[in-house]
Amino acid sequence: MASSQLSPAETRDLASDGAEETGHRPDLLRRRRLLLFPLALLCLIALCASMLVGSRPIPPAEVLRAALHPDPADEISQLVHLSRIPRTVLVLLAGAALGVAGALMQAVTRNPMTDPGILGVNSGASLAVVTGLAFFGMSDISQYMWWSFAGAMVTSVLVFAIGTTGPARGNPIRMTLAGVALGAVLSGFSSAVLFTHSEVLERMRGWSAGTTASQPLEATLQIAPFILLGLVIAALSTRALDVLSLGDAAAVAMGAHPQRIRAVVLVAIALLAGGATAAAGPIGFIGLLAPHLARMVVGPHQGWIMACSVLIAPTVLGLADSLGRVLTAGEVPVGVVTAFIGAPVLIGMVRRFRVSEA
Amino acid sequence: MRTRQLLLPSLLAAAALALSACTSSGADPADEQSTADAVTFTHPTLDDLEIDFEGQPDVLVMDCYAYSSLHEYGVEPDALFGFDCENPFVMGDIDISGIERIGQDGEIDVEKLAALRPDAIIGQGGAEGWSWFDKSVNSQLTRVAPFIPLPDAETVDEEIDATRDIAGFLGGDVDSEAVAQVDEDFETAREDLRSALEGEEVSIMLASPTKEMLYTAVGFQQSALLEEAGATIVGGEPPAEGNPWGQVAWEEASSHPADIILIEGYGEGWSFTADLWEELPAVQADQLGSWGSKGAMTSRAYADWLTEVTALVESADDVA
Repeated sequence: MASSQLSPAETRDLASDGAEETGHRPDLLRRRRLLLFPLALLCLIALCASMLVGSRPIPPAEVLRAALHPDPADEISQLVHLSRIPRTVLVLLAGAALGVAGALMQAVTRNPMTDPGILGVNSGASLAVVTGLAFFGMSDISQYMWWSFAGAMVTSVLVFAIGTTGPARGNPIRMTLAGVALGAVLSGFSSAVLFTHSEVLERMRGWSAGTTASQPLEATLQIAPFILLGLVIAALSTRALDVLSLGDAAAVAMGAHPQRIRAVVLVAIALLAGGATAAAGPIGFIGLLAPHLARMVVGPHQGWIMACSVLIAPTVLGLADSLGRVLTAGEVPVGVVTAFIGAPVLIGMVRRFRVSEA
Repeated sequence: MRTRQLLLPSLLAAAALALSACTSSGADPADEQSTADAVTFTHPTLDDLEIDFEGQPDVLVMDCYAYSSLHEYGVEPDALFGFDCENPFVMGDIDISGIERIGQDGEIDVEKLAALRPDAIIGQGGAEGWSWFDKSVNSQLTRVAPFIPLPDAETVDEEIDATRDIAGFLGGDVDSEAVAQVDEDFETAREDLRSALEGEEVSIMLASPTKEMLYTAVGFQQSALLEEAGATIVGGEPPAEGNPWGQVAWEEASSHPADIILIEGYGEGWSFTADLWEELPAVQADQLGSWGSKGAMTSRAYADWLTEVTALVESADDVA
């Protein structure tokens, strides 16, 4: 199967989706709905793990007591309210954002091997943070967030502008190439600055690895409206993306406006990926992995892929983060753990595609 | 005919003898001078490192860590490279504006280096070259001039002495009255700290806080210096091998209670925020000071630092 096209089975499945809601395929609809429950349960387990697992072992009952009865004088209560709860909220928000951003990215480029990083979002966010630290006297972690968010947004707009203007506009491969090329250029700029500003490298080391540590709850909540807006736009775009997945010509024939759909979806991707990167730093593979797992479970319907990605991505992120907290004496940033998980998964995916191509 | 046959070999033999005589008795004066000026440097802490120089090294290129230590003895570089050249915590009040820079942070302009034709390059590293260059760059570097690594000793005192040995070899004045005076100041500062800590239970953490975790410096030379004066050093245990920094997850930070936290590179403009950092008693009590794992390895630098620590100890409350 060519990576940018759907298989005949998937196309049949997609074509049947319109009918299923009118009652022709109630079993499929029921099966998909039923699948949400175990996924939601797994997500809940991962969030509980994020609350209960840490470098300092605290009995679950103590965590619960501290969560329900905040006491600034109590050390356990402080740990729960200043570390465990903010990290869990961040896992949920950043995970959902990365998962849905990945699903959107794969849908809009019709390429299942892309994630928000391919769009250059991470590189743009990183360059903005590097620039802020090196040239604008940024010194505080809380300032990283807005610089990173601005960098991600500007990069997304640039990629869209390059990918959708001029001849052959509308080709999804072109947007992917624009993202890859711009990402490479921006990474080059970051490297150039870091090479001669070692203190910047030192200061952004933790952020650039992708970590949920030391992010205050207030800061995460500041970014939450952007992520929620992105999720709403994504939810409203699912039908249009289903149409777009049939190809531009078919989409136009069905009365859709592919360019307009892409523009709206790109706004959602920028809000989601920019928000997640701003809050937790660049975390790879979640945006690639979650939609893939979702597609394996529910097929090619964008609405269901996104619904499942919203649950799968925080599950993976939460488990990876909890694992990172206990792997070493200090802590392994979650971005490093997801890379370790992601690399074999990616290799598995590549092998799977080869087999299906054959 | 026979006479002719004997004449040619005889002439050749005579010429060879004459040439041989000239070589043995009339050596090139320049070569002779060179041999007389040749010096061998024996590294004070790296046992197997001996470097032969044709003469006393005169044209010197240094990294800024080396210059921060050797400046005290009047050893001046012809060019600088390396990290922290603008960091006042490392360089103190040394003015480097008039010195050529042939590299910044992790890069060096090898063409400029070669053009200087230095006699020696001094910096942080080992026998193979500078710590932060890869093998290929170090190979170029050492083809230009021999590399003298800064010493790496167990204690601050040993390292100051070893640095002084290098300074002496490079022509620095290590026996001046000024040097004797700062040695005395260092001893006085050490005594003052000992007196301030006497009978007190003061726990000190030498740290470097980052977003992902808190790094601590148990077992570092600077920690040992404070410990020897009577302080209790707290922090995460250093790993058995590799990077010597102890790693403390933020959740564990309060498990290492400290009355005073010394922060690497702390000073004007230093900024760090993290909720669990701000909850640490020493941070709340603003009992913070500075330290450095790199920088001037001199009696003056350590006398000044210990004086600061003493003032902090004297004013600090028991908050741990």
